[in-house]
Amino acid sequence: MSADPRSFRPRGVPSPDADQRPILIGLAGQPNVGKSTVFSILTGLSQEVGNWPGRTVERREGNARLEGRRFHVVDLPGTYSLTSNSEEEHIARDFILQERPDVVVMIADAAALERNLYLLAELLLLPIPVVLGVNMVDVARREGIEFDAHVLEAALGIPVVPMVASRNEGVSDLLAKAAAVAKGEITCEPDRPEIAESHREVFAELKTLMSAWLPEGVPADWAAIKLLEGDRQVTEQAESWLPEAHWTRVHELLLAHEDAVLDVAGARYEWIGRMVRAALRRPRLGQVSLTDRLDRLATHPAWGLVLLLGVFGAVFWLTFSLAGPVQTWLDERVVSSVAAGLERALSSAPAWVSGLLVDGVVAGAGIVLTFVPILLVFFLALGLLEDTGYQSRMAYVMDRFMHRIGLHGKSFLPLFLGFGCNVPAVMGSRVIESRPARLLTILLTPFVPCSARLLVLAFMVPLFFPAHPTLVAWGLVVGNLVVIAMVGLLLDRFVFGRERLAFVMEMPLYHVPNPRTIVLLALSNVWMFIKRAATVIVVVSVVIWVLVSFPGETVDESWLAAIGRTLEPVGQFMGLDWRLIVATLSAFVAKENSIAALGVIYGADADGLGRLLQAAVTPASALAFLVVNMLFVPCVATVAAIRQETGTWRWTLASVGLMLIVALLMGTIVYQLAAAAGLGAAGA
Amino acid sequence: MLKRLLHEAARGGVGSTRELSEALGVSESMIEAMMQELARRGLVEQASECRPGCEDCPVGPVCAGHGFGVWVLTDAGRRAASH
Repeated sequence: MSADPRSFRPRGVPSPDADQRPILIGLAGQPNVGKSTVFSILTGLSQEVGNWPGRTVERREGNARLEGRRFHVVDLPGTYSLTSNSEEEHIARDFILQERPDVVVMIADAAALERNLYLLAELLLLPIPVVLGVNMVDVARREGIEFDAHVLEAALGIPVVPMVASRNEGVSDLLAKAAAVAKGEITCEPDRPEIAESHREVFAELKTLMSAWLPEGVPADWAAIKLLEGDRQVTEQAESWLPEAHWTRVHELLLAHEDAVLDVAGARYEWIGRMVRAALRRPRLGQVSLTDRLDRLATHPAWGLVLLLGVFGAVFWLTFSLAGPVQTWLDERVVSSVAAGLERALSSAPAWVSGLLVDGVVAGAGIVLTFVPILLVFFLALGLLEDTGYQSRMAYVMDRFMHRIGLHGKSFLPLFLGFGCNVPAVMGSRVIESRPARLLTILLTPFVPCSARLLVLAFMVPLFFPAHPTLVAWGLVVGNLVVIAMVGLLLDRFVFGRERLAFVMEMPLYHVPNPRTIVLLALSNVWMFIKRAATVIVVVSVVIWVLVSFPGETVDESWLAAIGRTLEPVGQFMGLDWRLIVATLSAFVAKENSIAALGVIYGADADGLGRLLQAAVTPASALAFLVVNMLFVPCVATVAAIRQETGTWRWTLASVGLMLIVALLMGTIVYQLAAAAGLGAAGA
Repeated sequence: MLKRLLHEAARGGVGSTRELSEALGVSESMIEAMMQELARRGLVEQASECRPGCEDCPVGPVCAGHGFGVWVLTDAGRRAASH
């Protein structure tokens, strides 16, 4: 490729020296490189603002003077390249090709030279000399980037001026270099990106096919390159410029070399790589930053996972240590006190009014209130992880494991949240971009044993299995996790299909966290959750209360009991009578309700309940009951969250149905196996 | 260079800009610049920008869109990488 800027000047246009006309400068650059600052310094009060002909994009131009020489500066729109992707890019290249500035001054950001030099790679293809102003060298220096203007100048073959435009440093020098180039005092022999060897032949043929037919001022090199990289505008124009036979051949060549699109741009990046390697010095490799040192551990395939599990363990420990007691205190002292006070105040009111307000409204609102400590600790922990920059490493390390069940690593975040409460866990699925992966996460989340289910487990296992509570509880939790993996694999394989996800993550630097930011973030999120969840939970709690309380005086005569008896034929497969079925059904409002339901049904406190249950329920039935309770349909708050997140009842019902099927299936398998193992008799 | 980057990025799973920079022997800044180039060509997209509805999401402020950039291949990118 060679478009010699010195030899190119349109016929009839004298050089600036010949007629003493102002030197025309096109000021180019990517957005946010300080181009406007340079333009303002150069042109001062002489700026004129209008629109580019036929466009809505603003055109700014003005005059400058240096040592008696006059300049006319046109501020080109900020563009990343000169390919016809946007109106700004059209304007910039049309200006250069049609208005023919004497020199193009390109401003680049010293701290982002790799990004900025792409535009230069394109400018150098055009037959106009270029001067490069490397701005913000002070910022780059603060980031540890040392930039050598002389080396870059030698490598590029064009003048390079280091600048700090915000302090008006280097701007005059830039203008002087531009004048010298325009007057021919400085010779530009730019090093340009090479075209890939596999496309050189076709490039040469394209040039030959087009060279005689191109309008004046359009270099054949540039037109051929633009065709190869799939420039829409040039492709359309080429069809009108060329005779039919030539265009047909050009079209054939382009079809046969479609891969040249990436090769042309790729060659520019190879060229950029050579330039920055020569002229930029970043912190030495041996001088490893804190982020590098931490990442050696945090992103290590094995140690990263160990660290991750440690962090999760710490979050769990914090949650149970800090939030657990507060949750219990809120339940016992606040919710129960309010309920008792309200019950006393309503002692003269009809029983149903008291029941509705105390057992329905207060109980429902109480559940929301007791969520708060768990949510607060989780949000504080997540805020901390995010603010330190560790969150991206979590997703990165987990990804390889989550992929086995068709999930992205970020699914781990909501699934992890599920151990606290399934509601924010379902909401947390929003961090997953892929809809299939998000739906899969939403369907799997309710299988994660939430704190309420763990509470039920901790309470019930010793009642049913006083001899081996730890073993049974551990087995149930592990079983739950195995079920999650199995369901995930099945859904991924048969419902969603394997989606081959590929992500590239930018890892932020580690930061010292800001406590104020984290606390405010956690508080605002908790408040947002309360506002949204409260209404749904309270309303549904009231509905369930009605089912439990009517039409008879006792639970035994309630509609819920009737439903339980209706379901007894199904329960038989799992060894569950209607009482255990009703207790399971009551967990729909909130998982911990099943404990209270058993107490009410059997008419006993916690101590007496254990003896009654061991006498009335066989170990096989008890095991099946616990398995079903661990896997049974999501609680009402989770259902509401699923509806909100999926935006459809179809997926909400699918989630409920899936859990119901899995719970019944696993309950039946466990019961039948336990019965076969001789645990089917009371006291076995 | 861009083709190699696209192939590396399309391998599946999560890759970091650091891994890619080591694989291609260029700086992370260069990788980020090239990812943006691929994005301009519609071959990758920023996947971590919050979707509509995320503004009132309780975990929105701690989600990926706020903490770190995630690039994902588009259909065109997957097709280009498979060629």
